[in-house]
Amino acid sequence: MSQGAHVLIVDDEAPIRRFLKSSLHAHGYQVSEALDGASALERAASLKPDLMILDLGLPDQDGVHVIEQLREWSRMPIIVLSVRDRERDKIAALDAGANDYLTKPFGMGELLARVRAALRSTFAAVEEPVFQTGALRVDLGRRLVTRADQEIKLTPTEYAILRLLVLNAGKVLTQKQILREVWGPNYVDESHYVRVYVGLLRQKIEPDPARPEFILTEPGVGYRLRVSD
Amino acid sequence: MCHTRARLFVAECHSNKLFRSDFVLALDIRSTLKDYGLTLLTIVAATIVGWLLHPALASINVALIYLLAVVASATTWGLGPAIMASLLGVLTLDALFVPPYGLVSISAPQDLVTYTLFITVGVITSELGARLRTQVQVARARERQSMALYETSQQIAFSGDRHLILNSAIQQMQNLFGAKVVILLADESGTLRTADASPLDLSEMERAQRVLESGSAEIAHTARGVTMLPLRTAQANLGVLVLRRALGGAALRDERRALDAFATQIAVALEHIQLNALAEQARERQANERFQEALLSSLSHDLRTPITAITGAATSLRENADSLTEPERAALLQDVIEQSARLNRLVSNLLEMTRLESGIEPQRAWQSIPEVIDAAANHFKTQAHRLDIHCDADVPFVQFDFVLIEQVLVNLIENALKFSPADAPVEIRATLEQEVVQIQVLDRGAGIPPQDLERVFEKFYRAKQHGQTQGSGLGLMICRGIVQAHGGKVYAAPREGGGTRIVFTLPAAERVKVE
Repeated sequence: MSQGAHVLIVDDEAPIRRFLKSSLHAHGYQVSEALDGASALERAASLKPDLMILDLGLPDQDGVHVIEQLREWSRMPIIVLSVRDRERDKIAALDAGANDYLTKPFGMGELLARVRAALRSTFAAVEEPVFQTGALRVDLGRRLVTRADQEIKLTPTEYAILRLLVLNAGKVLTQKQILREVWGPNYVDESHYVRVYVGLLRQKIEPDPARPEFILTEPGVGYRLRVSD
Repeated sequence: MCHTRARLFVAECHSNKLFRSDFVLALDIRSTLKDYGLTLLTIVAATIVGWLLHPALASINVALIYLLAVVASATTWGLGPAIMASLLGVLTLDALFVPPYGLVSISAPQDLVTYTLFITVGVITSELGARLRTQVQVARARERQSMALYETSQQIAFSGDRHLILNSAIQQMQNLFGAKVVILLADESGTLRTADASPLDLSEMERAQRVLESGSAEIAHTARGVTMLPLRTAQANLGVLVLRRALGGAALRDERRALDAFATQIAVALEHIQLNALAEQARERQANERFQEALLSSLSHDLRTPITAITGAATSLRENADSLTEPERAALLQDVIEQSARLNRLVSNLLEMTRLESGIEPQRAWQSIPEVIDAAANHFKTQAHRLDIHCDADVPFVQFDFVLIEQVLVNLIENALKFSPADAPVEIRATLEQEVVQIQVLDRGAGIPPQDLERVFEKFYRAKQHGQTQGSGLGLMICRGIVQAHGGKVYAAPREGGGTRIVFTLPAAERVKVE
């Protein structure tokens, strides 16, 4: 379904644009390019691409600012590219409305998986009441969580976190986003609440909580529920 | 008199008596009552001896016994007692040994001559004896000065401690001169400083500053008797030596010689310390330069190796596209990917090192240990099967900087994988030990020689394996820096059954609170 989708690449580095373009082409995507924030916004408006891959370090303006402007009129999925050590930038971008991020350097496999996940979230808008990843099954309609057909009892907070992750399956959620949704806007600075409850949740749903396979950690940023490809 | 004074002033009394030669005679005349008493006893003893011997001797010989007593008194107790001895001697001689006995009477003219001669000889002998005594005392005092100087030089010659030097010199001088001694040192700007709590008054400080600047001594004949000497070396004046007498009076020539010697001695010792400090700085600078060189050559090697591998693999793929077999192509591509990852880890380490050295504080937050171990393990996806992770259920949340501790684990796991045989798993264990969380990374490598267990955390330590050195040696050094910045410890230990155990701890006294 994502084949033929139109991707706008925004990066000022030619080698990066080149390898992104060739790989995306090879996978059947249609590709446009922009070298800075201003032309990115202009092309997003004129070309109406299905997805934007945005480097946060642009020559003319902060990538986060581009996201904020774009979000005023568009819900187009945005994947940001950033380097390690700039966790704050990534969180700011995600909180501003970016759908996902990739840490440089990254492999093409990773990028393509993120692109697919981001496009799926818009194309597959059908609200499925039942979510399945590996042996884990979450029935949102019946509030029932099972692993390998064994029911798992969760507290209301644990279930609320899992439900949020399921609704955003495959997409990274920042700790702030989880706090706002589960605890409310007054708790957005208590990021350790999320870590504590995710820890408890993993104890219950993961076969090996030390090597989680369902709830993945995005170091310094947040969590992501794995989707089976 | 001296002997009755408080102990504190003993040294000063000695110096008064010893160095002020113009006072010596006067002082001797004022010798103690005890001295006169002893002189009296000597005359009594001479009388007894004379009385016992006189039946066998002529009275002239008895006179010689008295003369002996006079000389003895002169050399032992000084001039005053000696004069008293000669008078007493003449009187007892005349009364007991010259007829008419029992009376002091000059019956014959030759007796008068004899007595006059006796007293004259007595006085001259006394003078000579007293002078001898003074000379002996002066010689002893000089010896004491020399001893004090010698001791001071012994104490300060082998000491690199400025404080110790000054204190021992001050102590010696105060004992020797019986005066208050203050040493003022010049700071870098050439202004005098004193560490003493009771320094000089303002005008004295100004004078001391003048002495420092001119480099010539100032002897003040003030009521307070302050002597100031510069601490001079060939290069500069390092400070001022101040001697202040409680009773006033300036230093005399003899004292000045000793003071000058002390000043020179102290100046030389201080200069020695200064030169040592300069030499130490030069050594440090050199070591630092060598370190920077080693860092650059190490970095150059470590950065270029993966770049060379990547360039080689990529150009080989382009140039030999037709002749390469499919497995060869795959292997070259895998090299490019793995070497890039290696380069990326190295750059991360360099960034962390720069961060640490620039003093950036870790961004601490309540974090989960299993989560950070998992994040680190995800850096080694291709070798995931070799990682064996155990995290005890009671390991609590701990406050740390996620990115930094992840870096520590990445470095430790990378080392462990590198040095372990390909089929041996690398174990990662997290446990709660009282107030700390202990995280261990265990390998089955060749192990670290016991003498190197501590050195592995130093910059540029490289493990030697099969005669080859590997890695930049930066990894463990950065680990130590990060763990210490978190208030933890890191150390290496041999692992039971072979291999190495690297352990690091994070403080876990506080516990997270969640609503």
